[in-house]
Amino acid sequence: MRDAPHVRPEPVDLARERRPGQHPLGGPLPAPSAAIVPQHASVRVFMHGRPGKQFPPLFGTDAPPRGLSGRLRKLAYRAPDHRAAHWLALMVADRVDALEHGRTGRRAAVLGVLLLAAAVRLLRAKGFNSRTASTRPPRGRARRTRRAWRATASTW
Amino acid sequence: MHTVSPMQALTYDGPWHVVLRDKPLPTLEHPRDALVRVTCAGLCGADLHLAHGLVPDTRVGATLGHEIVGRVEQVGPDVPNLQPGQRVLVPFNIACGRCPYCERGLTACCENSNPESDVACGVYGFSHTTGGYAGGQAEVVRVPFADVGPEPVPDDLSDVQAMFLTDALPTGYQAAEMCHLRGGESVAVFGAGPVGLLAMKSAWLMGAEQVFAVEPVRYRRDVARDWAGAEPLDPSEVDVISTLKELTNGRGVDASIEAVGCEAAGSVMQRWLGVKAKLVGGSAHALNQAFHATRKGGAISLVGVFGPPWNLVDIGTAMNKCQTIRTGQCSVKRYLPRLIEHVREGRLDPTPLLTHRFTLAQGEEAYEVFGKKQERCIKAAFFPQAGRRTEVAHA
Repeated sequence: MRDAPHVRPEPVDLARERRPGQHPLGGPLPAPSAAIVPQHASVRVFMHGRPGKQFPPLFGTDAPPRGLSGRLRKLAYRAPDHRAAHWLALMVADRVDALEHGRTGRRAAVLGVLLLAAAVRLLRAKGFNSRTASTRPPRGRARRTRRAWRATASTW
Repeated sequence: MHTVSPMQALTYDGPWHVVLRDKPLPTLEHPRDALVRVTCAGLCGADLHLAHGLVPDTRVGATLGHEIVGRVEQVGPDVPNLQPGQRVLVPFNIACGRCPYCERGLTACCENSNPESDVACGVYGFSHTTGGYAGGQAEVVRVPFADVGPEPVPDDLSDVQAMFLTDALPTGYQAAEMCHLRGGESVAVFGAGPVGLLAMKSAWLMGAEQVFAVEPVRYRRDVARDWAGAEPLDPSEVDVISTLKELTNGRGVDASIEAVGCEAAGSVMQRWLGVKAKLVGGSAHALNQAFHATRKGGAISLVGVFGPPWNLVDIGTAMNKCQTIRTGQCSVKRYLPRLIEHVREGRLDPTPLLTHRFTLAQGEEAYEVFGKKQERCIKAAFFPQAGRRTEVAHA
């Protein structure tokens, strides 16, 4: 090993009792008079279904749920967090949220719709829509396949 | 008419996108709240996991950032220990100080700060899975349970040193502590980001004999060697596990520290399933390597951040090798007295690791530079007051 003693501190915490992870919280602890009054919720806050637990006195109020993604989140929080359904619904809601509310997500969504529209238009121009496919006679490999099918079917 | 402008904050805008938004100034929502005007906010590797859409219930518009240093602006009636104007560092865990976990010092397990999930306590700017609290990459932040969490910063400590004390330094120290070192051991640290580098230094403090740094990025290996005194290994050049076994009499290291988290490189399958398609909770490749690199009966210390859903973890190897896995968010508060002492004495001064400083307006650039490891970036931080708007005139 490369010798680099100048950057290696002395092992002053070799004794385990010097390591803080062995000790309880030193303080400050809350004042005895400190109230555990419930915070007033100005926005919608979900609580996942955990048995025997009350709503905690404090919570965050950043980015409240909204729109379709908010409805999906509401559904997600009906399941407790030990169920896969909880996390799957949240992950779907996250993607919907990005498309629904994100500035960059909306741009991506608009771009996606435009690309999709362009692709559909191109396919229609090439004769790949269902109406024309049903009226036009099959060409090339499709025609050969259909002939082979008819020949096989006629022998049954 | 003159009105105070809304504050600016760096917010999540969908996977891979962070944008600066105007948001309303936070208010005191509870008697135990305080408002802190942020002077320095770290950009952590875990923020990248959020920004990349890997933590469920990260909502568009949510303010990011959990490494907060600032000055107290306003306190609620039940916060007797803080005064307006006081400089404080804010541990990233939000803890009540009264529940059975807090009383034992396990503030990272507080059961009174997160209604939305039982998998974590409340954390600033870390999705609604951790309580939906606004983060500190903003001009002002609401600090709940302010009578317990915030720590006054001694005058001889800089904002940068204090910022490291809110998360990266205690987490790195705890990572080494969870290896149960008794002196003379070999330790492999996977990941030479800020937490990994501080874990290497901490391992020396606890008597490690050999420290290896496994890191694919060259300049970070250089820092691991020159700043942390570790032996660097490049996983793209050598077979890391075979090399570590060669260097430790064929057995493997005594302990491994996983300081990478859910975006570990090195496995195409893990990257595609976990990071790109997001079908599992990120890539667990570094953790799986740690199982193989550690000797039978050795210790695995996991401090890299993963989201709550499932991962492709090679748990059978750990079980069959009789390894001890220790993990957890760091209960920052109880580490502060000892670590402030280490910083003051120069044994564990993280200042050289801060390579990039940004204003909030440069937020998108900051995430780009830090996330893509450009410009030899090790650690970045925001200094919101450097580009603060005070008042906007409205007709």
